[in-house]
Amino acid sequence: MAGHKIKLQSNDGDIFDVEVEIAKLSITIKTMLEDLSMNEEEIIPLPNINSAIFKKVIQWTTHHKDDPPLPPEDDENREKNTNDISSWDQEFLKVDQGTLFELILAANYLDIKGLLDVTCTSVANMIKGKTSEEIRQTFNIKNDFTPQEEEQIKKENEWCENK
Amino acid sequence: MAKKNIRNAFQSFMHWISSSNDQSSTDNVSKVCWIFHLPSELLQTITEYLNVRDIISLSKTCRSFYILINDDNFWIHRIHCQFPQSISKLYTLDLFQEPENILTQDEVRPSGFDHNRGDHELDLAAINSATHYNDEAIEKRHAKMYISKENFLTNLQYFQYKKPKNILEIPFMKLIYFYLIDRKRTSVVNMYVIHRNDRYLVEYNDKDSLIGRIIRLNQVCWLEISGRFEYDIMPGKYEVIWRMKGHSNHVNIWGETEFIVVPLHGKMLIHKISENDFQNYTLEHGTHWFSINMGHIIIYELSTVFMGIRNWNNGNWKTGISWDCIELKLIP
Repeated sequence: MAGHKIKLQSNDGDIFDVEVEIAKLSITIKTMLEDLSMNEEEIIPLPNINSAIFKKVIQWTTHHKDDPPLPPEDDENREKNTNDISSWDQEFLKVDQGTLFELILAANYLDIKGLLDVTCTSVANMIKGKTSEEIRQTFNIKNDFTPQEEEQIKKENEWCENK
Repeated sequence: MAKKNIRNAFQSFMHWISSSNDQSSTDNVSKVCWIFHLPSELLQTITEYLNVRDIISLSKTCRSFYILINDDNFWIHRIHCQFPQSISKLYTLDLFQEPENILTQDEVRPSGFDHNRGDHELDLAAINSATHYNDEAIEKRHAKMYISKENFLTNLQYFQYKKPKNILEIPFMKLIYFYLIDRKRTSVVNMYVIHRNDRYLVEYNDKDSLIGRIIRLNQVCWLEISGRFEYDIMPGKYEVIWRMKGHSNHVNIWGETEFIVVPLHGKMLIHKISENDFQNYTLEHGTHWFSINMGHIIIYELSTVFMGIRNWNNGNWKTGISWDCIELKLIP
C-alpha cells in the first residue's frame, strides 16, 4: 500500500496529496479514515490549518514516518525529558514564534504527539532558567502588574525557594 | 582545499540566513506576543516540560500566567502528569475524606525487635505499631489514610522549602505538590549516636555526603543510633532508603544489624542486614556511597517517624561502615 495517497485540504483552499501512512501519524486523520470510514477519493478538510503550517507538518511527519512508536508513559517516572531535540528537529524549528505557536496548535489539533512534544519542548527551552523579565522579553509579554502587585507576588512565593 | 572553503562560506551564509530568521530578531521588531495565541490547556502542556522554579518565574511575568498558575486545577493537573495514579489520586482526593472509624480492641503485640530497649520512645512506638497496625488490626478497623485539610495546613513543614506564611492564600494543591516533591531526608549526625566521640563513632565532613557531615563507625561493641525525622510526616506509603558506605575492605559487623523505622500512627519496618550482606555491599560498591532500599512503611495519620540502627547482642567489635542519611520516598 506504500505510496497510496489521500487528499487533504487546508483552510485556505489548497489541496495536498499525502501518503496515507504519513497522514495517519495524525491520530485525528487516522480516526477520520478508520472510524468514519471516509471514502478515499473524498477530500478531507482541515479547517484549523493553513497551507504554510500544513506544509511544515507534512515535512515533519515525512521525516519522522519511520520513527519507532513512542514508549508508553512509564507509571514510575513521568517527568518529561526535555533535553533531547534531534539536530534535524532543531533545524526544523528554526522558525519565527508565530510559526512555532501555530505548529503547536496544529500538532494539538491533528493529535501528532511527537510534533507536539518537540514544539512544546522548544518553547520550554526558551523559558528555562530565565528570570521573569527575561521571559517577558523573549515572548513580548507585557508586564500588567502594578508595582505593589509585583511586590506582593514576590513575597507570596518566597517559601518556594530552597531553604 | 577550495572545496572546503566554499563549503564553509556556504555554511556561514546559511547560518546568517537562519539567524536573521531567528525568533528574537524578527519578533522584537513586530512586538507580537504569540504565546497567548495558545489556549490555556496548551500553555499548561508547555509547563509540563518546566521545573517549579521556571513555573514560578513564569507566574510572575503577567496576570494571565499568574491566574493560570495560581490555581488548584493547574497543580492537580501537574500532580496527575508527574505521579503514578495511586499517588495522585490519594493526594488530590482520597486522603482528605474522613474514614468511618470502627472501634476495636487490639491485643497488645511485642515490637518484634531483636534488640530491645525497655521504654525507649522507639520501642514504645514499635509496640503501638505492632498492636494497632498489624494487617489484621488494620483490616478490622477499616483503617484508612486520612488527614483533614485544616490539619494538613496547620502541620505542614517542608524539609527543603520554607514554611509558607500566608498559607490560606496559596492554592491548596500547590502546597500538596510541593509536599510530594519535597525530599524527606534526615542526616545521621542529627540522630542520637551512642559512643559518638573521636574514637568509636566519629563525625566527619564528607564532600560526597548529601548533607555534608557523616558518622563513621570506627569500632564499637554496642551499636545504637536512634532519632526521628525533623518534621512529622503526612499519611502515605514511603520507601525507606539509607545511604551508607564501607570505608575499608573489612566490614566486620557480626550478627544481624536491625534498621528500624516506626511511624507513630502506621505500619513500621524492621530490616535486618547480616555481616555477609554488608560485605557484599562493599564488594559491589567499594568505598563509594550506596543507597539501600529497605522496604516500606505505611502512615495512616500524621506521624512523628522514629528510626534506629541496632546491633548489640554480642560482644564483638563492629567496624567498617559510615552513614550519611535516611530518606523517605513516596511510592504507589
